[in-house]
Amino acid sequence: MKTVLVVDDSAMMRKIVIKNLKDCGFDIQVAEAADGKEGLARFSAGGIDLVISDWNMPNMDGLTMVKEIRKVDPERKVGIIMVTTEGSADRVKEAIVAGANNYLAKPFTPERFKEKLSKFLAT
Amino acid sequence: MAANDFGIDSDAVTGFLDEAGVHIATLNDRLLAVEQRAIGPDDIAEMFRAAHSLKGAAGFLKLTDIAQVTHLMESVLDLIRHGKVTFTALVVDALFRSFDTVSSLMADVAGSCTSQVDIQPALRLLEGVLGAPAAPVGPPTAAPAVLPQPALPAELPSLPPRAYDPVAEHLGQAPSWLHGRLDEEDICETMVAMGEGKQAVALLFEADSLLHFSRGATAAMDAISQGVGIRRIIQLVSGPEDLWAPLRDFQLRIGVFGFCAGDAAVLLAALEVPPGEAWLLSGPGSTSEAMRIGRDPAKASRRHERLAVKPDMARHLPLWIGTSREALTELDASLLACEGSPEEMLHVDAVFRHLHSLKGASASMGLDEMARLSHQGESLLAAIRDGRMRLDAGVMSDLFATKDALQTCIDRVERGEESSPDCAALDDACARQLAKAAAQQASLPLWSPSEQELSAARAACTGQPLWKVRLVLAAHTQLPDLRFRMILENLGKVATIHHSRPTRGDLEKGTGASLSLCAVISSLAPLAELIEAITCDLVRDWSIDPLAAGEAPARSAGGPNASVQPEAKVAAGHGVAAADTVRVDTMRLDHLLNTAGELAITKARLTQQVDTLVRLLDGVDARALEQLAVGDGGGTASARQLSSISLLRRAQDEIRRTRDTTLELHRHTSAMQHSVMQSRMVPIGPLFQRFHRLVRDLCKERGRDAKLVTSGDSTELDKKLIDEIGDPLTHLIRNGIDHGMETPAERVAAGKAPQGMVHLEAFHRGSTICIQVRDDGRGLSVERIRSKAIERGLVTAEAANRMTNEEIYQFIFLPGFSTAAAITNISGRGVGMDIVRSKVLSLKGTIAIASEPGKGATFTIALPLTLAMIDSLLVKIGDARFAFPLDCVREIVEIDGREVRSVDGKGRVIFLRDQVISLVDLQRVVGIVPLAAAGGLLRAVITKGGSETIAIAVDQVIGDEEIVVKPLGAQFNRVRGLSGATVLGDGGVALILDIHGIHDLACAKRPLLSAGA
Repeated sequence: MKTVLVVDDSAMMRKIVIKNLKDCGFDIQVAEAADGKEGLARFSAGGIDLVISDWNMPNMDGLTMVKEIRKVDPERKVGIIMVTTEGSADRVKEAIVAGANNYLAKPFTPERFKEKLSKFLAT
Repeated sequence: MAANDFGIDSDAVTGFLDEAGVHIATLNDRLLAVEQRAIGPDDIAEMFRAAHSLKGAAGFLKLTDIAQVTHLMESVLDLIRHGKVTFTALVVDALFRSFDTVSSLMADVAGSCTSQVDIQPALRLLEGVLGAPAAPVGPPTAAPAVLPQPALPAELPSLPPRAYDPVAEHLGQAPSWLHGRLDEEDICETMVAMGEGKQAVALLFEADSLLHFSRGATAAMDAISQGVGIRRIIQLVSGPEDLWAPLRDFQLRIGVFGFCAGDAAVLLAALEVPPGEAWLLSGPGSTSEAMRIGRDPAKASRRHERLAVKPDMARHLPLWIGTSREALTELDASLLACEGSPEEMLHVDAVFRHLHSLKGASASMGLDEMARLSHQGESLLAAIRDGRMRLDAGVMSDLFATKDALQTCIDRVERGEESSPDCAALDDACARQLAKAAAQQASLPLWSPSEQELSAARAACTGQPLWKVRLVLAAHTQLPDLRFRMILENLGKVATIHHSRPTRGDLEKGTGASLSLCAVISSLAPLAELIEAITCDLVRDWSIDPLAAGEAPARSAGGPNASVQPEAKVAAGHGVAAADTVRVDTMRLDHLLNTAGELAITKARLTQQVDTLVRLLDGVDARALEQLAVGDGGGTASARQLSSISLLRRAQDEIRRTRDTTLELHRHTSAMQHSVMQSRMVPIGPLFQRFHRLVRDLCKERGRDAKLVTSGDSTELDKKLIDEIGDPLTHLIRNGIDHGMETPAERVAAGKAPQGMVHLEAFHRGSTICIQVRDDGRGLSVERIRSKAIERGLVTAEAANRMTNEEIYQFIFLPGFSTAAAITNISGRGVGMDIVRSKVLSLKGTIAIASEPGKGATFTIALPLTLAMIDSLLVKIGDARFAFPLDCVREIVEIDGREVRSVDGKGRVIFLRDQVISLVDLQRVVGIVPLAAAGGLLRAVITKGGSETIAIAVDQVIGDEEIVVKPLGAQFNRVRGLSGATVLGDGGVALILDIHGIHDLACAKRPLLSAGA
């Protein structure tokens, strides 16, 4: 069973992401964090297989968190998906360069969500 | 505006509303700070984030109006964040206006009614700030399916709109035919693919005519799809304007844009139909430079590596030649062994080892061409070792050719020649082999049945579920055709095979090369049987996907150890850990609390019953039992008596243990009640924050200057209380500013700071929560209230003069009572304070007033910590039991019945420590008949409700007890003086007295407040 860390300052967004994860039927357990700092701390605690993170967050934004995670995980063993509001190429580029594996544009459809996540979570 | 159920339940909408409320509060709060020039970049960032979160969440719920407004809000804040716009009055107003609009929209959503909120004014204001053209006025077009994107979030409002071509923006020198044909999403996916180490390739196939294309290019496309994940196929038709021109005049070209996992150059070399153009596009982070690749004849001319030994290594040359020849001889022997038994991995490993050491040695000598050749050979062997390639005759000949080329190199180096042999043919051959291997690496063929095949299968499946089967054999499989025939035969036993590729006919003829098999089948057999039919030890990977009727085939990857999708779906959802927080309907919490209350009652009854049992059994005389047991008066006890005695003794022991257990039960139920109640508690801070805006707006309107200071924001209250107390606080603050606060000039004249202060504070006091509204205004005018009360005939002048200040203040709570000279739209109608008091009383709270002329007024609302459980004093009046809320009880006294006096204006009173206290008989107010006071001695409970103290006569005091408040039925709504009921430990019922109600009733009976008496 894989562990997915959902990082978002909005509890509702976390809820939506987790609901979608469950609906997709992945064999996973979920950890949550409310900002980049918390996310990094939870990540450092270990056991995380995939990170789904928001971009704009208080304390530490998603991009900084990704960079920090990649410092600890330079081999990119852990998948990171950034959730952005506009799926603009600039932002995606920024995220990929920082070390994210993929992105998810808000609002996403359940199909889109599944498509993006399957690469990381399909057994 | 109805929220779309986008896989999201109404719970999510509630969640959104809660969060959105917080965001709006943040925005309001920070914007207020702007006006006080107390804002930093962090605050602006926080505002931006709040707007951004609002937009994102609203987009999800398809709350398009909210999304539209918040989108513009976000854009404005973004400009501010980047210093392109400053907070002018216009900007602040536009933002405040949009917050209000969003709040109204949210209220709409909460009520889930149709939108009546006009968002246009807010949009126009925001657009005014952005400098963008105003959106067309009028109702928004009927339910747009996608989120409307009002004007690109312009970085600079002055920039003229330009055609946005993401290709030009992000892919650098991409081929011209790609421009305008890829959208933003394609580019995003390209970034992702490049991030995964894939290469983006753009291939252009020329087709002289449509006919030619259909034959040639489809084959090419098939080949590509093995190695390239095709993102987009672009048809480029060029030709005469006249559509009726002969077909041959049209030129059709097919562009393919996709991502390639392996080496794109290797892949291209393997294509049988070469593309006219092939582009390798650069990735993110690197310089934007596109590379044109392909079988360009000019490029195909081989770099002619010179076989020059590094000067400093020259002295090692003889040694190198010796070892290299040795290695070559061994390589030759290993290759021969390989050819003899291609299944034997031992020999493959040996060949690999020899090539590897040759590579190292050559590289260290500076003989790069030899190193390259060895590496190329190594790659072939690696592919074989990984099972991606079979060691067939073709590969063997390439390996032998590699060995020969290396041999030639060594010969030339030994002779001192510096020209390397021409290995172009060998390189090409190796590249083709590797490309084939790369194609195999994409383990399962990306095959889907054509629409034609699918509809044929659908017609023939007779309602049985359709499946798409794909499998691939291990690279070293001998006679794959035979294997496939076996698999199809097995499969045929449990399913109908509608279509397969290769077909059974192909397999019988022998196609040789393919290692993959695809088929469309229909079957009622369980999936497990299908899996068993297709799996054998040489199947490297497989997948069975359901083909839904009329739907695109679902994608899923399978594997020997993987569970298949349909089953996985069933098993889904288990093991998902609970989130740190859950949102619970308050109804459920209420129910839980209620049940906990019932449990407490049951516990109390149980305890009481057990205590009775203990008492009864303890009453059994131990000695009497002893005598019975040994036999009284000579005769021995019968066996039945003896056993009864021992049973009785056991019962005694048992009941004592039971009593211990009930103590434990008591602990647990208390803990449970406590935590259930705790779960309803929320901090009051967010409620307080709401009033900043109120104070600001009021001050603006009334020409006052006041600041709201809050403290005790983290004090927690029952959620219900928070919801209810907002209104009364609004009234208190409005009154405080409108009546209490002087204008800045008046304040200065009175020697105060020009800016007034309203202090909002929450704190605990005993088992109550106090919320205090304090201002430093002019305070309440006792004289004005007194004269107004007399003028309105509420009290005689004489009585009024006898009243204390506290009593006078109480008048302002009467309906319709106002001292305001003019009625403003804020206050003066005398409704506000009445509402405050009735609301506070309905929450079983009290409100007290303190004021000092010229210094300000303080209103203190005290609320019970929770509405469900209270400490009470149980008493008996007549033969009924009543519960006093313990908070209201000051003391219990016994007085001589003769000391009760009648005093004018106060009715019956008692004297207690020189204080005159009204005595109330419940008999008079609620019609309960007390027992005759024994011996003239009177028991009374001294209670405090509001600012008055009264004594209530009772017959017997039972004691204090924690009780669960149960509401009375609706039919008792009009009964005053009672606030509820509770079930006692013995199962009986006690009514809970509403002390405030009794005070009111007592006052009403008293002639004091009625004019003329």
